[in-house]
Amino acid sequence: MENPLLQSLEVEHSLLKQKYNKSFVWLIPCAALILLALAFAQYQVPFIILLFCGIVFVIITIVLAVKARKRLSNFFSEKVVRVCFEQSFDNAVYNKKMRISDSVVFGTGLFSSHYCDEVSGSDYASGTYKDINFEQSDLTLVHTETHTDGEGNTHTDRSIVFKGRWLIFDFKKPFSTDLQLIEKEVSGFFGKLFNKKSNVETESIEFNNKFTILAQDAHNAFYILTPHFMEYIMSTENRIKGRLYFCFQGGKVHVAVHNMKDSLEYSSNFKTIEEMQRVALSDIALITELIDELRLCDSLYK
Amino acid sequence: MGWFIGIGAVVLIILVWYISTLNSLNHAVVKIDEAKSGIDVALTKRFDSLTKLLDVTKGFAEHEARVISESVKFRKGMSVPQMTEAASQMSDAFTRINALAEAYPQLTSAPVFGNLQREIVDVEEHLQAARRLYNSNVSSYNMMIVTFPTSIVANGRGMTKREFFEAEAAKRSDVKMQF
Repeated sequence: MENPLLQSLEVEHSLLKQKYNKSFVWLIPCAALILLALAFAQYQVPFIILLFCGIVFVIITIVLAVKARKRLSNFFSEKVVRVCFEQSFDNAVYNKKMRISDSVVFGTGLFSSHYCDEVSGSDYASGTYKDINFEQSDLTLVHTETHTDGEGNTHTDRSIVFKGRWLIFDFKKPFSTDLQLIEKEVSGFFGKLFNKKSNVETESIEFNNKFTILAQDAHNAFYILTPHFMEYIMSTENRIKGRLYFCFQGGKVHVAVHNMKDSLEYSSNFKTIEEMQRVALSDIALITELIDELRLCDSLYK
Repeated sequence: MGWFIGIGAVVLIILVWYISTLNSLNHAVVKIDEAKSGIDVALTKRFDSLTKLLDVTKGFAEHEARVISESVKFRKGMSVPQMTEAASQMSDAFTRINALAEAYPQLTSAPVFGNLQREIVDVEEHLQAARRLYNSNVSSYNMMIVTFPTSIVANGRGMTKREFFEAEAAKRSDVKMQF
């Protein structure tokens, strides 16, 4: 027999989805009015009135569809994502509208606050897994550039600097100064021309080729980057798609995954609650995967 | 006139190259010395922690603790081979203290003993970091002085290969497998 809670969620979801689909019914009168307007194109007054009514119906459709979509999205966040977080972690907190603050993000020095003009994000969550506290959120950093052409028109170009997940974990090994690791964009010979230069070189050529290492203190870099830990970072890099950024700062490790993805988002393709749970849990799995892969709960660090 | 300018330009280029190469070699030497002092600091810390641990142990097994204490010779400003030897002696001493502690359950249950053991493990990690940093600097310096044309400047200044800080003998023997 099916779980009654799951059944009630399925009912709620199908009702919301029906409302969403129904909002597009308004497109029928809208199309009819626009066709009529075209039929009366030679008569100025009826044409304008019919066209105006058609546009009003288009606006109504858009407003209703957006509202219905928002309700579906809220349903997914509150009834599925929140529950998945609460079931997966101790002390779980989830807030769809919140994100990791600018001061924390720019405080790592991985991205410059002067260069990134727009910061947005969502899906803040925090909790504890295997005695390791974590925080995470989606984040988008955008650089905008305004320029004026020869005719005096102003254009604004937007370029995405970072889009993906920002995760912060406890790092139990005590260290005094910051360390940044940035996955190199271009590997091989040409990497020397395009990548930022490391100020520390480890004994692992493979690791040096993969990451730019920026350390305030070389001893501290070697203290954190033990041969084992470098192996864990390399295997994490192999498993996770996207460009990885690490910052070890103040007893925490920040891991930023630049994969151009928005996680924990509702999709119209969702058919069942189980499917939603599967997708939410696979997004949440990144947290546990990083803690496990980087052995952050290793007793050696305690 | 053109010949003079040409020869002058070539001499200037060689001079600039010589000075910059010499500077980078000297920079590498300074880096090595810095890293060596890092090992010195880590060894001093390790020696201090070990001394404290031996003081605690003396309360339970005075004679054995004194014997272990006498087996460790350490002073600041040692050469690299002497440092390797001292590090090896300290590792031996730590192993012997742990073995001794097994015979005295009151010692292992003392919180101060546990804290010092953890401190030594952390100091050990700092020593490993210092050793790896030193060896990495030595490795890039040794590469520089044998690579042409930097080798011309290095040979001219009498620069020779530096010694690596070897892994401690006790640790190397850990990987020996006996069947």
